[in-house]
Amino acid sequence: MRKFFLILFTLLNYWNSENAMAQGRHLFTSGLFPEAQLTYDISDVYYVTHKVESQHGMFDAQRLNRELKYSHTLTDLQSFIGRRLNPFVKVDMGYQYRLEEGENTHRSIQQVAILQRSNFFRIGHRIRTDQTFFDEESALLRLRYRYSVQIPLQGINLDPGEKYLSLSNEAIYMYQDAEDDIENRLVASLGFFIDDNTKYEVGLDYRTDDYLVPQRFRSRLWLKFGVYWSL
Amino acid sequence: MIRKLNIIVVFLLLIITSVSYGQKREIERAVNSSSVPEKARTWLEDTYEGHKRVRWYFQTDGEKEVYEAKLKWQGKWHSVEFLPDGQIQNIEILIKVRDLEKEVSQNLTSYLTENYQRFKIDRLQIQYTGSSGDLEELITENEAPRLLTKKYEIEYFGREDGQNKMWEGHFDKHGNFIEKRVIELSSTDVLDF
Repeated sequence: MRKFFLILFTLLNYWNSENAMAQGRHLFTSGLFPEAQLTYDISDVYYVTHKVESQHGMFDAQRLNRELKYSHTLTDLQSFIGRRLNPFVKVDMGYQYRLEEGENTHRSIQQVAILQRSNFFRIGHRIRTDQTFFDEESALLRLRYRYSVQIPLQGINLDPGEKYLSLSNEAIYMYQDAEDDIENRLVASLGFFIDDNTKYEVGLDYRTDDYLVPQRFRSRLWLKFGVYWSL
Repeated sequence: MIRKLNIIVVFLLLIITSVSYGQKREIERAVNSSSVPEKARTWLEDTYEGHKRVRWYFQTDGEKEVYEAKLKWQGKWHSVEFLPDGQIQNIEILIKVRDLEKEVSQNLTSYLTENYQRFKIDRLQIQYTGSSGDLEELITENEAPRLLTKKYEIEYFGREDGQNKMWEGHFDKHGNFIEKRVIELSSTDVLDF
């Protein structure tokens, strides 16, 4: 396991090493990122989604001996209510409660998801805004756009028992206390389409942030695995 | 006792038969060109001379089996369907709404306007059915011989009685309605969250 994270660290941190080395530090962490999601209809057009996701740190490049050490980073509990405007467009409003060392936070979320069909794959556009509320600090406001593709690996359409490739990139602009920053999330996963109600995914989630904060640029690599149910 | 048992067995068999009959499952998978009937491959190579990459698929609904080739030809996606003996069935060409002839476009639009509160065309294909020679001429001469049957297949969403549904509709060469069926899009939960 230690070898796995070290290899990934070396490969993926190579491109930003100049930046990090120039600043004399590697702000890189890595770990496990399980998630589970359940979606069900409450009427013909309205549906509810619950999601639990959790980050568990295993590797931190700043540790002296770069040893593996477990630490719970955070756990998010999310619930959304959504409306299908048509088969291609959905709007959702959500709430997130984050369990994190130091301070648990509340977040309100609004999103529009658009499905685009191509000849050989499906494209998902997601525009999201969210507001995170803290006890003492000002609210953190974020504007996000995610582009995802779902590519069947055994044909044109996904049939039960087939695999798919899921690729996505999300750019996030954030603003808090007159300061702003940018984060990017790149995810590549292998999906297992059991049937339309059950999917599993396993992949890598690579996040970079603090682009606009001097000497704080950091990257995080998560081994992500999830199960997605829709009833 | 035995009679009762027989009735139960017959009843169970009826249920199993009807359930399995109802579960007509469509399967579609990518295949290597080597597993495609040679006659189909030869027809494609001769007709689409100088084509680029071809993707081959095998489809079955439990009864009918077909091989389908997908390739880009003169800037448009073509789907060419063959029977298991290699005989060509039809050619479908993906086009945009703006490529439609005026008469066809008007007829399609008036059908959709009259039957739905709202609608949006998502995918539009021209389907040509006919003999192997006529279909070959369609591609090589870039002109549809008179004997070919031309139809339009469109996938669209339409709001009917306040409900949004996805439809697959078939229209004749003038854009007049023939038939339609509801289609289900697979869930998008992994793309949305």
